[in-house]
Amino acid sequence: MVQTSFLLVTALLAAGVTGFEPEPDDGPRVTATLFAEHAVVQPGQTTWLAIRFEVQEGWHIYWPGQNDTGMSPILDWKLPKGWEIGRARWPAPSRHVSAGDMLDHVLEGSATVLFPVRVPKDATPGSGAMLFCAAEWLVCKQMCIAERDDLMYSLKVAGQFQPLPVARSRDLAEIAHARSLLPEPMPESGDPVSAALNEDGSLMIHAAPGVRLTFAPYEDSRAALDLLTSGTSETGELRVSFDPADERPIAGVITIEGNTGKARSFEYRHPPASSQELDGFTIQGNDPRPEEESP
Amino acid sequence: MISRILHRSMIVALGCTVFAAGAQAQLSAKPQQAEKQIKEKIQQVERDVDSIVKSMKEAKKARIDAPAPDFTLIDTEGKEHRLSDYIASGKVVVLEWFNPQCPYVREHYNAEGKGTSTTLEKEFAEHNVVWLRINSGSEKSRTSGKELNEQFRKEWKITGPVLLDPEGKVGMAYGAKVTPTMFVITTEGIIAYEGALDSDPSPSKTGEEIYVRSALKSVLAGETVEKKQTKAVGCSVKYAAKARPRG
Repeated sequence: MVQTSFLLVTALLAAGVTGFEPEPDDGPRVTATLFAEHAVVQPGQTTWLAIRFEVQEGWHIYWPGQNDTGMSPILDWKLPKGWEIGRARWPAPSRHVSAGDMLDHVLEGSATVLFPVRVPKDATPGSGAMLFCAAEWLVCKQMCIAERDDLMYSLKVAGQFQPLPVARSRDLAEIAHARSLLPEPMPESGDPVSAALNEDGSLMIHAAPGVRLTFAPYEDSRAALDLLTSGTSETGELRVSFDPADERPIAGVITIEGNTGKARSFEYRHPPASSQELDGFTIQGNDPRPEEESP
Repeated sequence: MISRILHRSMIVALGCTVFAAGAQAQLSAKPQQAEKQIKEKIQQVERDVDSIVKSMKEAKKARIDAPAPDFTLIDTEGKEHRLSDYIASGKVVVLEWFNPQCPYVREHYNAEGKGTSTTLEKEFAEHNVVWLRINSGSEKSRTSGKELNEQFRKEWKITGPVLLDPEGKVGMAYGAKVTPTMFVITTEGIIAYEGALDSDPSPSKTGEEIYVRSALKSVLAGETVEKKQTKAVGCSVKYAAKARPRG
């Protein structure tokens, strides 16, 4: 009898691990929504777009960092000719270690990525502009599912009788909230965290004793070595080594988590990037869509 | 068994060549001496194959340009496959880490058997290339098990076997982190390519360059593979919780 109930419990546990997982065709695990800071923009203005990923509980998508597995969302923008889109600003990731000692940096729950957009100076006043993004992502739990969505947003370029940009309050709140969650610039004072390169090329990060520190390098950063063990510590000190043959700049996110439990994140770059590099604007126009309508 | 026979016949064929050459060179020498030299040559050929197999058995961790770690795994039909048997019999071997429910794997298959993976497998089969798919998912993973993998093997018209590695030992030895991860192994038992199947990182389309095709062409032509290593992108291999990489 004891054995039977043991078997039953084991069977139920096993079912919990694998049996009740939804099938791939149960509907999307992630909903992506596009937000725009302004509904009406001015020629030459910089405005912001955001994509919010709502990830079902227990599932994760991939942050664009040095990950062992998965793929960060592919966001393929198609903007009107002459419009420029800048570098994606992602919120800080969390570390996800899976069986086989595989380390990934992932996003769970609600995660919003921000993009600056520059309206061309010669945009026709009163014209409409369709912003389009083909989004594709991999979402995983104990299995992975590829999902995609086409996101669209229609903006208007301010005309003669409406010369000022118009914000959209719901979107504005969403974008402001997303911006508050982005990694901050490294504090010049060294408080609450400081980072410096050693002579041997390793990165030393310091915070108050006992603070949990994490370093997550971006995908295109100089390759960090052995992140599984050296990417996080709970002593307030963290030393990250890099591939000496790799000459790319170091870029990533440092996260600190003190006793209060509230995490803060900072973006570290070496050498420091210029504001132009940070904005990362690329002009659109190679593959224009029929977006500019006549007034 | 078959490989053993092939192995022997190769040596006999090589032995004949050696004998012909040896006979010509040794016309004036004593017959016993010539025979001894031929025996030595034959042994050398045999030792070469043996030393290839030996180096594969000794290899613990897969590295590019180094011997491929040997393994024996059971396929979905219960048949045993030993990597070094294929190499000893003169095959070039492609390893593909496989999970029939991973979108990055599914991308390369379809019910017509005309996906990138099955097409390549057929294309190179006549050139002595064997394609071994390996599922290193744990028994608890919903993507492993012989029934599921056999079902997809049939559905996708896969010619070669799907090998099961539920303890993840082979996956760990090869450092396979995602599906698909590809390896191309030469007839010398050397890993000539490791990485992605093709150049596109998304699961929705196949890239312009099929890395595995380029690697196979180079290997078969006896040339160095231009891109020896690429980053494999895909789903994590669903290892058993106790699976640990080898040092």
